[in-house]
Amino acid sequence: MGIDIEGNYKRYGPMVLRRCRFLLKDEEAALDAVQEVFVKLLRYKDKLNGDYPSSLLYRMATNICLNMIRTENRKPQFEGEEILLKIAAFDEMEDRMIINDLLDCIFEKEQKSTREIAVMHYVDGMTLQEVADESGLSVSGVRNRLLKLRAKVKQIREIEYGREKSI
Amino acid sequence: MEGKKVSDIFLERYLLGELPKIKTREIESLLEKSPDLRMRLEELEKSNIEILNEYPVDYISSEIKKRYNRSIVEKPGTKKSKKKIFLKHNKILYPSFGLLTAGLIFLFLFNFNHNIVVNKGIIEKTRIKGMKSGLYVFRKNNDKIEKIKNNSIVKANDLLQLAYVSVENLYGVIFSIDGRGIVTLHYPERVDLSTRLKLNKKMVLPSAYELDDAPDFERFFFVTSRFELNVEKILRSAEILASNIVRAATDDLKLEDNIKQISLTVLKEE
Repeated sequence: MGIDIEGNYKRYGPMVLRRCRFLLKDEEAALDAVQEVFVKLLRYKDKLNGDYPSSLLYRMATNICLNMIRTENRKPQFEGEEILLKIAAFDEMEDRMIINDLLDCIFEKEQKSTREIAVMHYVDGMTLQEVADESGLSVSGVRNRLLKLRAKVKQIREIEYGREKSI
Repeated sequence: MEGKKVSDIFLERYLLGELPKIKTREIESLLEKSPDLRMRLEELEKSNIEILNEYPVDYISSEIKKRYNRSIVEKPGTKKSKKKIFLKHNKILYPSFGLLTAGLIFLFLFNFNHNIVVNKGIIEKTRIKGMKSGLYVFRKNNDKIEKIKNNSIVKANDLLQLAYVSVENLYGVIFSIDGRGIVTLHYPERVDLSTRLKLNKKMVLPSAYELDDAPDFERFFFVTSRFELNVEKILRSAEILASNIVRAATDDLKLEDNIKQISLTVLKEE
């Protein structure tokens, strides 16, 4: 297979599992997601670059978990989950194109999707500057992406609840 | 960055030595000042050891490779080899649907008071605190569904439904031995399928089955492990036990130390 799965799992597996546990709050689902992350690593081995695999694997774990959350279409069950569910469900044309070839984009250093940026800021608690540093955008670029998300989410909430709310 | 506000990702990457130098220096400076941050870092180091103990490298890597191989699309014209089902005798199988399923929903609701989702023929239960691993047997009795206890009396042509709960072990096999020494596999449905279980949920098997006229008893076994089980090996142990009917009714299976077993026996009406 050409990639040292044992070595990568030993080094990064615990970090990936912690990330998946945090997002999914379900041990079985988290373990499933961890394996998916490393399967995708095998699949994209030819595109792997040498810079900071931890950053890449963390993003892969986040996106796989967001997709699992979206597929489950579940109701919020724990504090703070509602925003995560909204982010997971966020579906914008630009994001759809990115998500379809998400890992190609990651490996080719394309822009991070709005979902990833939203998770970094709203779920992981990173400042706008930190998100900007991680995503390669400017602070105003990050702010614009988040405004788009909030507008979209607000639209969905207005339709769902029939009144204005802000995140 | 204050100590308390350092995001998990930065601390994880710091531990791995994969942060840019400026960020590394920031965190090192904060570590000197913040006991909370130092504690978080220690917890990460401890968690690394715990996770690799709980999910060992060899085992998980092997699972990842199997999953990767399964995900590769087969080329047209190649045959997938299938192992034969290790059954000497076929029980009649019925899908879990209609009245039996509705009855089970009612029974679980009555007993456990929680929401149920029916998903592809398997009834999933929401998690309940204080759950214990176990094997459940239900019988359709006219329009009623009843839970069968150990050593309950049953008869030929009774329609039974099996369910399980596993709170720790991710993998399991369910089979039965009857009074003729016949071994019947109930889960997974074939020997070549994964033995993966759903954890912390009450799971009903997708098929109910009708008892035949084998005498004396039918004993149901639920064998579990943290690691993937070899179904054929388990069934071979079952066949050895089943070769002595007296022992089959009372003794445990001879299995490896990391495999747990529980059983439930129903007695055949004369």
